[in-house]
Amino acid sequence: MSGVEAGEFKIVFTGPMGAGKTTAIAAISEGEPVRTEVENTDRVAHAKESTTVGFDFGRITLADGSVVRLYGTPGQVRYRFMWDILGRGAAGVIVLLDASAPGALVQLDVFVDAFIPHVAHGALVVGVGRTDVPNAPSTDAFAARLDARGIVAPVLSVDVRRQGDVMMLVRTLVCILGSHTAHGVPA
Amino acid sequence: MQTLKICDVGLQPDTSHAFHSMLKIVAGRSKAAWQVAGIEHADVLFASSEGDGSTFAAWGATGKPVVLVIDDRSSWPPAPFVLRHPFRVMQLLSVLDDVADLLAASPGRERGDPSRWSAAESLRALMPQSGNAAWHVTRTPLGEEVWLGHGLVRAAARTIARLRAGELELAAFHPTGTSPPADAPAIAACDFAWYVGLSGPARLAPWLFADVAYRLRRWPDFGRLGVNTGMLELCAMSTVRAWTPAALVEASGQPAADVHRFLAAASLAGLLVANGSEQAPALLARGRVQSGWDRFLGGLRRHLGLAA
Repeated sequence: MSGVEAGEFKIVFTGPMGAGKTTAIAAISEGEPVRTEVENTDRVAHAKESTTVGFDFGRITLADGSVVRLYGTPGQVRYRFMWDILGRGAAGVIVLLDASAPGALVQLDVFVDAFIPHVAHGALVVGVGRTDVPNAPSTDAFAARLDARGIVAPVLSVDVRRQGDVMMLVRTLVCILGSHTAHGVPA
Repeated sequence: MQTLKICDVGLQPDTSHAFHSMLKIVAGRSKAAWQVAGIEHADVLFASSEGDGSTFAAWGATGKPVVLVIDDRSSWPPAPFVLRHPFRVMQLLSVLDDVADLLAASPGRERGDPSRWSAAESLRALMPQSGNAAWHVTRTPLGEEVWLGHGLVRAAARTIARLRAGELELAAFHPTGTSPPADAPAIAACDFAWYVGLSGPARLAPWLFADVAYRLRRWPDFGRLGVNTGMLELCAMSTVRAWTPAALVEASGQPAADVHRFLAAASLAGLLVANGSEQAPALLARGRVQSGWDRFLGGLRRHLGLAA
Protein backbone atom coordinates (compact mmCIF):
# COMPACT_ATOMS: atom_id res chain seq x y z
CA MET A 1 0.00 0.00 0.00
CA SER A 2 1.32 3.45 -0.84
CA GLY A 3 1.81 6.10 1.79
CA VAL A 4 -0.94 8.25 0.35
CA GLU A 5 -3.47 5.44 0.42
CA ALA A 6 -2.59 4.99 4.07
CA GLY A 7 -3.25 8.68 4.70
CA GLU A 8 0.42 9.46 4.97
CA PHE A 9 2.80 11.27 2.64
CA LYS A 10 6.34 10.45 3.52
CA ILE A 11 9.65 11.75 2.24
CA VAL A 12 12.71 9.90 3.44
CA PHE A 13 16.15 11.45 3.73
CA THR A 14 18.84 8.83 3.72
CA GLY A 15 22.57 8.49 3.21
CA PRO A 16 25.68 7.63 5.17
CA MET A 17 26.66 9.09 8.51
CA GLY A 18 27.68 12.74 8.27
CA ALA A 19 25.96 13.43 4.94
CA GLY A 20 23.62 16.00 6.49
CA LYS A 21 20.27 14.24 6.85
CA THR A 22 19.51 15.71 10.27
CA THR A 23 20.57 19.17 9.09
CA ALA A 24 18.44 18.93 5.95
CA ILE A 25 15.29 17.98 7.85
CA ALA A 26 15.90 20.73 10.38
CA ALA A 27 16.25 23.22 7.50
CA ILE A 28 12.72 22.72 6.22
CA SER A 29 10.71 21.18 9.07
CA GLU A 30 8.11 23.15 10.96
CA GLY A 31 9.38 23.64 14.45
CA GLU A 32 12.11 21.59 15.99
CA PRO A 33 12.41 18.11 14.45
CA VAL A 34 12.44 15.02 16.66
CA ARG A 35 15.93 13.60 16.85
CA THR A 36 17.34 10.37 18.19
CA GLU A 37 20.99 11.24 18.34
CA VAL A 38 23.53 9.71 20.66
CA GLU A 39 27.25 10.15 21.09
CA ASN A 40 29.09 8.89 18.03
CA THR A 41 31.24 5.93 19.03
CA ASP A 42 32.27 5.18 15.45
CA ARG A 43 34.85 7.92 14.91
CA VAL A 44 36.48 5.82 12.19
CA ALA A 45 33.41 6.21 9.98
CA HIS A 46 32.95 9.88 10.81
CA ALA A 47 34.46 12.32 13.28
CA LYS A 48 31.23 14.09 14.25
CA GLU A 49 30.18 14.26 17.89
CA SER A 50 26.78 12.62 17.64
CA THR A 51 24.87 10.40 15.24
CA THR A 52 21.30 9.32 14.60
CA VAL A 53 20.50 5.82 15.86
CA GLY A 54 16.71 5.73 15.46
CA PHE A 55 15.41 8.30 13.05
CA ASP A 56 14.85 12.03 12.63
CA PHE A 57 11.34 13.26 12.15
CA GLY A 58 10.03 16.56 10.84
CA ARG A 59 6.82 17.70 9.26
CA ILE A 60 5.34 20.19 6.80
CA THR A 61 1.65 21.04 7.16
CA LEU A 62 -0.18 22.01 3.99
CA ALA A 63 -2.97 24.57 3.69
CA ASP A 64 -5.68 21.88 3.80
CA GLY A 65 -4.26 20.45 7.01
CA SER A 66 -2.66 17.40 5.46
CA VAL A 67 0.87 16.66 6.54
CA VAL A 68 4.08 15.74 4.78
CA ARG A 69 6.26 13.66 7.06
CA LEU A 70 9.99 13.93 6.75
CA TYR A 71 12.02 11.01 8.02
CA GLY A 72 15.77 10.83 8.33
CA THR A 73 17.30 7.38 8.53
CA PRO A 74 20.33 6.38 10.56
CA GLY A 75 23.37 6.31 8.31
CA GLN A 76 25.20 3.28 9.59
CA VAL A 77 24.65 -0.02 7.81
CA ARG A 78 24.19 -1.81 11.14
CA TYR A 79 20.88 0.04 11.44
CA ARG A 80 19.74 -1.16 8.05
CA PHE A 81 16.63 -2.74 9.52
CA MET A 82 15.48 0.84 10.16
CA TRP A 83 15.94 1.70 6.49
CA ASP A 84 13.35 -0.86 5.49
CA ILE A 85 10.94 0.27 8.17
CA LEU A 86 11.25 3.94 7.25
CA GLY A 87 11.39 3.39 3.50
CA ARG A 88 8.17 1.43 3.37
CA GLY A 89 5.42 3.50 1.74
CA ALA A 90 7.69 6.46 1.00
CA ALA A 91 6.45 8.80 -1.73
CA GLY A 92 10.02 9.73 -2.50
CA VAL A 93 13.55 9.34 -1.26
CA ILE A 94 16.33 11.90 -1.09
CA VAL A 95 19.79 10.35 -0.85
CA LEU A 96 22.38 12.67 0.65
CA LEU A 97 26.08 12.01 0.13
CA ASP A 98 29.34 13.67 1.06
CA ALA A 99 31.53 13.67 -2.05
CA SER A 100 34.68 14.12 0.04
CA ALA A 101 34.02 10.97 2.09
CA PRO A 102 35.96 7.82 1.19
CA GLY A 103 33.91 5.51 -1.00
CA ALA A 104 31.22 8.09 -1.71
CA LEU A 105 30.38 6.50 -5.07
CA VAL A 106 29.97 3.09 -3.48
CA GLN A 107 27.73 4.64 -0.83
CA LEU A 108 25.46 5.80 -3.64
CA ASP A 109 24.98 2.19 -4.72
CA VAL A 110 24.32 1.05 -1.17
CA PHE A 111 21.54 3.54 -0.54
CA VAL A 112 19.99 3.33 -4.01
CA ASP A 113 19.86 -0.46 -3.69
CA ALA A 114 18.26 -0.20 -0.29
CA PHE A 115 15.58 2.35 -1.18
CA ILE A 116 14.68 1.85 -4.83
CA PRO A 117 12.29 -1.00 -3.95
CA HIS A 118 10.38 1.38 -1.70
CA VAL A 119 9.98 4.25 -4.15
CA ALA A 120 6.51 3.79 -5.57
CA HIS A 121 6.65 6.54 -8.18
CA GLY A 122 10.27 6.40 -9.11
CA ALA A 123 10.93 9.57 -7.16
CA LEU A 124 14.55 9.49 -6.16
CA VAL A 125 16.77 12.55 -5.86
CA VAL A 126 20.45 12.54 -4.96
CA GLY A 127 22.02 15.53 -3.21
CA VAL A 128 25.80 15.61 -3.08
CA GLY A 129 27.69 17.90 -0.74
CA ARG A 130 31.31 19.05 -0.66
CA THR A 131 31.93 18.50 -4.37
CA ASP A 132 34.35 21.41 -4.22
CA VAL A 133 36.85 19.50 -2.05
CA PRO A 134 39.96 18.65 -4.09
CA ASN A 135 39.86 15.15 -5.59
CA ALA A 136 36.23 14.62 -4.57
CA PRO A 137 34.15 13.05 -7.36
CA SER A 138 31.95 15.47 -9.27
CA THR A 139 28.19 15.15 -9.52
CA ASP A 140 28.82 13.89 -13.06
CA ALA A 141 30.61 10.86 -11.60
CA PHE A 142 27.60 10.09 -9.40
CA ALA A 143 25.23 10.59 -12.33
CA ALA A 144 27.34 8.29 -14.50
CA ARG A 145 27.08 5.67 -11.79
CA LEU A 146 23.30 5.85 -12.00
CA ASP A 147 23.46 5.91 -15.82
CA ALA A 148 25.33 2.63 -15.77
CA ARG A 149 22.41 1.08 -13.89
CA GLY A 150 19.80 2.57 -16.21
CA ILE A 151 18.51 4.92 -13.51
CA VAL A 152 17.61 8.46 -14.49
CA ALA A 153 17.50 10.50 -11.31
CA PRO A 154 18.69 14.02 -10.60
CA VAL A 155 22.09 14.38 -8.94
CA LEU A 156 22.37 17.88 -7.54
CA SER A 157 25.27 19.51 -5.74
CA VAL A 158 23.99 20.97 -2.48
CA ASP A 159 24.93 22.46 0.81
CA VAL A 160 22.27 21.14 3.16
CA ARG A 161 22.99 23.91 5.63
CA ARG A 162 21.23 26.18 3.14
CA GLN A 163 17.47 25.93 3.29
CA GLY A 164 17.22 26.89 -0.38
CA ASP A 165 19.31 23.89 -1.39
CA VAL A 166 17.16 21.51 0.65
CA MET A 167 14.03 23.06 -0.82
CA MET A 168 15.48 22.54 -4.29
CA LEU A 169 15.81 18.83 -3.53
CA VAL A 170 12.23 18.63 -2.30
CA ARG A 171 10.86 20.67 -5.22
CA THR A 172 12.71 18.42 -7.65
CA LEU A 173 11.25 15.37 -5.96
CA VAL A 174 7.74 16.79 -6.13
CA CYS A 175 8.15 17.71 -9.80
CA ILE A 176 9.14 14.12 -10.53
CA LEU A 177 6.13 12.83 -8.61
CA GLY A 178 3.88 15.19 -10.53
CA SER A 179 5.29 14.18 -13.89
CA HIS A 180 4.98 10.49 -13.18
CA THR A 181 1.41 11.04 -12.08
CA ALA A 182 0.44 13.15 -15.08
CA HIS A 183 2.59 11.67 -17.82
CA GLY A 184 4.07 8.42 -16.51
CA VAL A 185 3.62 5.05 -18.05
CA PRO A 186 1.28 2.87 -16.01
CA ALA A 187 2.77 -0.39 -14.85
CA MET B 1 3.56 42.38 -30.71
CA GLN B 2 7.28 42.21 -31.24
CA THR B 3 9.36 42.77 -28.09
CA LEU B 4 12.60 44.63 -28.65
CA LYS B 5 15.39 45.35 -26.21
CA ILE B 6 17.14 48.68 -26.18
CA CYS B 7 20.25 49.82 -24.36
CA ASP B 8 21.26 53.43 -23.79
CA VAL B 9 24.94 54.30 -23.52
CA GLY B 10 26.91 57.50 -23.16
CA LEU B 11 23.93 59.81 -22.72
CA GLN B 12 24.04 62.88 -20.51
CA PRO B 13 22.02 62.37 -17.30
CA ASP B 14 19.16 64.62 -18.42
CA THR B 15 18.98 62.93 -21.82
CA SER B 16 19.01 59.50 -20.23
CA HIS B 17 16.30 60.53 -17.79
CA ALA B 18 14.15 61.90 -20.61
CA PHE B 19 14.67 58.75 -22.66
CA HIS B 20 13.58 56.42 -19.85
CA SER B 21 10.59 58.58 -18.99
CA MET B 22 9.46 58.73 -22.61
CA LEU B 23 9.86 54.98 -23.04
CA LYS B 24 7.17 54.55 -20.39
CA ILE B 25 4.95 57.03 -22.21
CA VAL B 26 5.27 55.31 -25.58
CA ALA B 27 4.45 51.90 -24.07
CA GLY B 28 1.26 50.71 -25.72
CA ARG B 29 1.53 53.31 -28.48
CA SER B 30 4.58 52.05 -30.33
CA LYS B 31 4.70 49.25 -32.88
CA ALA B 32 6.92 47.14 -30.61
CA ALA B 33 7.12 46.57 -26.88
CA TRP B 34 10.38 48.13 -25.76
CA GLN B 35 12.43 46.79 -22.87
CA VAL B 36 15.58 48.30 -21.46
CA ALA B 37 18.42 45.75 -21.50
CA GLY B 38 22.17 45.46 -21.08
CA ILE B 39 24.25 46.01 -24.18
CA GLU B 40 24.98 42.30 -24.64
CA HIS B 41 21.29 41.51 -24.84
CA ALA B 42 19.98 44.54 -26.70
CA ASP B 43 18.50 44.61 -30.18
CA VAL B 44 18.99 48.35 -30.52
CA LEU B 45 21.57 50.79 -29.16
CA PHE B 46 20.45 54.25 -28.10
CA ALA B 47 23.67 56.20 -27.91
CA SER B 48 25.17 59.65 -27.80
CA SER B 49 27.11 60.53 -30.92
CA GLU B 50 29.87 61.64 -28.55
CA GLY B 51 30.11 58.16 -27.08
CA ASP B 52 33.01 55.79 -26.80
CA GLY B 53 34.34 54.79 -30.22
CA SER B 54 35.19 51.23 -29.17
CA THR B 55 31.60 50.66 -28.11
CA PHE B 56 30.39 51.77 -31.53
CA ALA B 57 32.96 49.58 -33.25
CA ALA B 58 31.92 46.52 -31.25
CA TRP B 59 28.25 47.27 -31.77
CA GLY B 60 28.75 47.85 -35.46
CA ALA B 61 30.12 44.33 -35.78
CA THR B 62 26.76 42.94 -34.62
CA GLY B 63 24.92 44.60 -37.51
CA LYS B 64 22.17 45.82 -35.21
CA PRO B 65 20.67 49.32 -35.51
CA VAL B 66 21.76 52.37 -33.57
CA VAL B 67 19.70 55.42 -32.69
CA LEU B 68 22.16 58.28 -32.49
CA VAL B 69 21.46 61.20 -30.17
CA ILE B 70 23.18 64.44 -31.16
CA ASP B 71 23.31 67.76 -29.34
CA ASP B 72 22.15 71.08 -30.76
CA ARG B 73 25.67 72.02 -31.91
CA SER B 74 26.30 68.90 -33.98
CA SER B 75 25.69 68.60 -37.67
CA TRP B 76 23.24 65.93 -38.82
CA PRO B 77 25.19 62.66 -39.27
CA PRO B 78 24.69 60.30 -42.24
CA ALA B 79 22.87 57.73 -40.12
CA PRO B 80 19.37 56.27 -40.55
CA PHE B 81 18.12 56.89 -37.00
CA VAL B 82 19.00 60.21 -35.42
CA LEU B 83 17.44 62.33 -32.68
CA ARG B 84 18.55 65.79 -31.69
CA HIS B 85 18.49 66.54 -27.96
CA PRO B 86 16.17 67.77 -26.57
CA PHE B 87 13.68 65.57 -28.40
CA ARG B 88 9.95 65.18 -27.93
CA VAL B 89 7.99 62.03 -27.19
CA MET B 90 6.50 61.86 -30.69
CA GLN B 91 9.95 62.14 -32.23
CA LEU B 92 11.20 59.26 -30.11
CA LEU B 93 8.08 57.23 -30.96
CA SER B 94 8.61 57.87 -34.67
CA VAL B 95 12.23 56.74 -34.58
CA LEU B 96 11.44 53.67 -32.50
CA ASP B 97 8.67 52.70 -34.91
CA ASP B 98 11.05 53.08 -37.84
CA VAL B 99 13.53 50.81 -36.08
CA ALA B 100 10.78 48.28 -35.30
CA ASP B 101 9.73 48.32 -38.97
CA LEU B 102 13.31 47.67 -40.03
CA LEU B 103 13.72 44.76 -37.65
CA ALA B 104 10.34 43.29 -38.57
CA ALA B 105 11.26 43.47 -42.25
CA SER B 106 14.68 41.96 -41.58
CA PRO B 107 14.05 38.74 -39.71
CA GLY B 108 17.75 38.08 -39.85
CA ARG B 109 18.16 40.72 -37.20
CA GLU B 110 15.62 39.26 -34.82
CA ARG B 111 16.32 37.16 -31.80
CA GLY B 112 15.47 34.17 -33.97
CA ASP B 113 18.30 34.96 -36.33
CA PRO B 114 19.94 31.68 -37.38
CA SER B 115 23.31 33.40 -37.32
CA ARG B 116 22.84 33.84 -33.59
CA TRP B 117 23.35 30.11 -33.31
CA SER B 118 26.90 30.48 -34.55
CA ALA B 119 28.49 30.09 -31.11
CA ALA B 120 26.21 27.17 -30.32
CA GLU B 121 26.90 25.49 -33.66
CA SER B 122 30.64 25.76 -33.18
CA LEU B 123 30.23 24.53 -29.63
CA ARG B 124 28.33 21.47 -30.87
CA ALA B 125 31.23 20.61 -33.10
CA LEU B 126 33.80 21.23 -30.39
CA MET B 127 32.12 19.68 -27.35
CA PRO B 128 33.11 16.08 -28.14
CA GLN B 129 36.72 17.26 -28.19
CA SER B 130 36.35 19.95 -25.54
CA GLY B 131 38.63 18.00 -23.22
CA ASN B 132 41.48 18.33 -25.70
CA ALA B 133 44.43 20.55 -25.01
CA ALA B 134 43.84 22.87 -27.99
CA TRP B 135 42.23 26.19 -27.14
CA HIS B 136 39.48 27.87 -29.11
CA VAL B 137 38.37 31.41 -28.54
CA THR B 138 35.45 33.71 -29.24
CA ARG B 139 34.56 37.27 -28.26
CA THR B 140 31.61 39.08 -26.80
CA PRO B 141 30.25 42.14 -28.65
CA LEU B 142 32.39 44.25 -26.32
CA GLY B 143 35.54 42.36 -27.23
CA GLU B 144 35.88 40.23 -24.10
CA GLU B 145 37.49 36.89 -24.86
CA VAL B 146 35.94 33.52 -23.97
CA TRP B 147 38.21 30.49 -24.20
CA LEU B 148 37.22 26.84 -24.66
CA GLY B 149 39.59 23.93 -24.09
CA HIS B 150 40.74 21.33 -21.57
CA GLY B 151 37.08 20.62 -20.77
CA LEU B 152 36.74 24.16 -19.45
CA VAL B 153 35.64 27.61 -20.47
CA ARG B 154 37.71 30.49 -19.19
CA ALA B 155 36.64 34.11 -19.22
CA ALA B 156 36.56 37.15 -16.98
CA ALA B 157 34.34 36.67 -13.93
CA ARG B 158 31.93 39.40 -15.07
CA THR B 159 31.67 37.75 -18.50
CA ILE B 160 30.79 34.41 -16.91
CA ALA B 161 28.25 36.14 -14.67
CA ARG B 162 26.56 37.72 -17.69
CA LEU B 163 26.57 34.39 -19.48
CA ARG B 164 24.88 32.74 -16.49
CA ALA B 165 22.26 35.49 -16.63
CA GLY B 166 21.62 34.79 -20.31
CA GLU B 167 22.90 38.21 -21.33
CA LEU B 168 25.76 37.27 -23.62
CA GLU B 169 25.69 36.75 -27.33
CA LEU B 170 28.82 35.14 -28.69
CA ALA B 171 30.31 34.61 -32.13
CA ALA B 172 31.58 31.22 -33.27
CA PHE B 173 34.65 29.75 -31.62
CA HIS B 174 37.77 29.49 -33.71
CA PRO B 175 41.14 27.85 -33.08
CA THR B 176 43.90 29.87 -31.51
CA GLY B 177 47.54 29.25 -30.83
CA THR B 178 47.49 31.24 -27.63
CA SER B 179 46.21 30.39 -24.16
CA PRO B 180 43.96 32.22 -21.72
CA PRO B 181 45.43 33.85 -18.62
CA ALA B 182 46.20 31.09 -16.13
CA ASP B 183 44.23 32.85 -13.42
CA ALA B 184 41.12 33.41 -15.54
CA PRO B 185 38.01 32.00 -13.81
CA ALA B 186 36.79 28.74 -15.31
CA ILE B 187 33.56 26.79 -15.56
CA ALA B 188 32.99 23.31 -16.95
CA ALA B 189 32.46 23.27 -20.71
CA CYS B 190 29.18 21.36 -20.31
CA ASP B 191 27.88 24.04 -17.92
CA PHE B 192 28.89 26.70 -20.43
CA ALA B 193 27.07 24.79 -23.16
CA TRP B 194 23.92 24.79 -21.02
CA TYR B 195 24.07 28.57 -20.63
CA VAL B 196 24.69 29.10 -24.33
CA GLY B 197 21.59 27.06 -25.10
CA LEU B 198 19.47 29.05 -22.68
CA SER B 199 20.78 32.29 -24.18
CA GLY B 200 19.85 31.30 -27.71
CA PRO B 201 17.08 32.46 -30.00
CA ALA B 202 13.45 31.66 -29.24
CA ARG B 203 13.10 29.37 -32.20
CA LEU B 204 13.87 25.68 -32.18
CA ALA B 205 17.61 25.18 -32.62
CA PRO B 206 18.48 24.30 -36.21
CA TRP B 207 19.94 20.93 -35.25
CA LEU B 208 16.72 19.82 -33.53
CA PHE B 209 13.68 18.56 -35.42
CA ALA B 210 10.06 19.50 -34.85
CA ASP B 211 8.81 15.99 -35.59
CA VAL B 212 11.30 14.11 -33.42
CA ALA B 213 10.56 13.23 -29.80
CA TYR B 214 13.34 13.97 -27.33
CA ARG B 215 13.95 12.99 -23.75
CA LEU B 216 16.59 13.65 -21.13
CA ARG B 217 19.10 10.89 -20.57
CA ARG B 218 20.42 12.65 -17.47
CA TRP B 219 19.41 15.59 -15.30
CA PRO B 220 21.58 18.70 -15.29
CA ASP B 221 23.13 19.58 -11.94
CA PHE B 222 20.89 22.46 -10.99
CA GLY B 223 22.88 22.91 -7.80
CA ARG B 224 25.67 24.21 -10.02
CA LEU B 225 23.67 25.74 -12.85
CA GLY B 226 20.85 27.39 -10.94
CA VAL B 227 17.26 26.60 -11.72
CA ASN B 228 13.77 27.97 -11.94
CA THR B 229 10.53 26.09 -11.46
CA GLY B 230 9.78 25.91 -15.17
CA MET B 231 13.08 24.21 -15.86
CA LEU B 232 12.47 21.63 -13.12
CA GLU B 233 9.10 20.81 -14.64
CA LEU B 234 10.54 20.40 -18.12
CA CYS B 235 13.29 18.13 -16.85
CA ALA B 236 10.89 16.01 -14.84
CA MET B 237 8.58 15.64 -17.83
CA SER B 238 11.41 14.87 -20.21
CA THR B 239 12.77 12.06 -18.09
CA VAL B 240 9.38 10.37 -17.89
CA ARG B 241 8.96 10.08 -21.65
CA ALA B 242 10.06 11.56 -24.95
CA TRP B 243 8.22 14.57 -26.37
CA THR B 244 8.26 16.39 -29.65
CA PRO B 245 8.98 20.09 -29.04
CA ALA B 246 5.38 21.06 -29.77
CA ALA B 247 4.00 18.34 -27.48
CA LEU B 248 6.27 19.49 -24.68
CA VAL B 249 5.08 23.06 -25.13
CA GLU B 250 1.47 21.95 -24.98
CA ALA B 251 1.82 19.53 -22.07
CA SER B 252 3.96 21.85 -19.95
CA GLY B 253 1.96 25.00 -20.67
CA GLN B 254 5.23 26.90 -20.86
CA PRO B 255 6.12 29.43 -23.57
CA ALA B 256 7.52 27.86 -26.72
CA ALA B 257 10.63 30.04 -26.43
CA ASP B 258 11.40 28.64 -22.97
CA VAL B 259 10.90 25.07 -24.14
CA HIS B 260 13.04 25.60 -27.22
CA ARG B 261 15.84 27.11 -25.16
CA PHE B 262 15.59 24.26 -22.66
CA LEU B 263 15.92 21.73 -25.49
CA ALA B 264 18.86 23.62 -26.98
CA ALA B 265 20.59 23.78 -23.60
CA ALA B 266 20.04 20.11 -22.86
CA SER B 267 21.20 19.18 -26.34
CA LEU B 268 24.37 21.27 -26.20
CA ALA B 269 25.19 19.90 -22.75
CA GLY B 270 24.87 16.35 -24.10
CA LEU B 271 21.85 15.49 -21.96
CA LEU B 272 19.22 15.12 -24.68
CA VAL B 273 18.58 12.04 -26.78
CA ALA B 274 16.18 11.38 -29.60
CA ASN B 275 13.50 8.87 -28.75
CA GLY B 276 14.52 5.26 -29.16
CA SER B 277 18.24 5.82 -29.31
CA GLU B 278 18.71 4.48 -25.81
CA GLN B 279 16.83 2.15 -23.50
CA ALA B 280 14.01 3.55 -21.43
CA PRO B 281 14.99 4.51 -17.89
CA ALA B 282 14.54 1.83 -15.29
CA LEU B 283 12.48 4.11 -13.09
CA LEU B 284 9.72 4.45 -15.64
CA ALA B 285 6.78 2.07 -15.74
CA ARG B 286 6.20 2.17 -12.03
CA GLY B 287 3.19 3.09 -9.97
CA ARG B 288 -0.24 4.03 -11.15
CA VAL B 289 -2.01 7.24 -10.20
CA GLN B 290 -3.66 6.65 -6.87
CA SER B 291 -6.78 7.93 -5.20
CA GLY B 292 -6.24 11.28 -3.47
CA TRP B 293 -2.77 11.60 -4.90
CA ASP B 294 -3.49 14.45 -7.30
CA ARG B 295 -5.19 16.54 -4.64
CA PHE B 296 -2.44 15.99 -2.14
CA LEU B 297 0.30 16.63 -4.67
CA GLY B 298 -1.44 19.84 -5.73
CA GLY B 299 -1.44 21.06 -2.14
CA LEU B 300 2.22 20.21 -1.71
CA ARG B 301 3.13 21.93 -4.97
CA ARG B 302 1.37 25.09 -3.87
CA HIS B 303 3.15 24.92 -0.53
CA LEU B 304 6.50 24.70 -2.32
CA GLY B 305 5.72 27.53 -4.69
CA LEU B 306 5.29 25.27 -7.71
CA ALA B 307 2.35 25.63 -10.09
CA ALA B 308 -0.48 23.47 -8.77
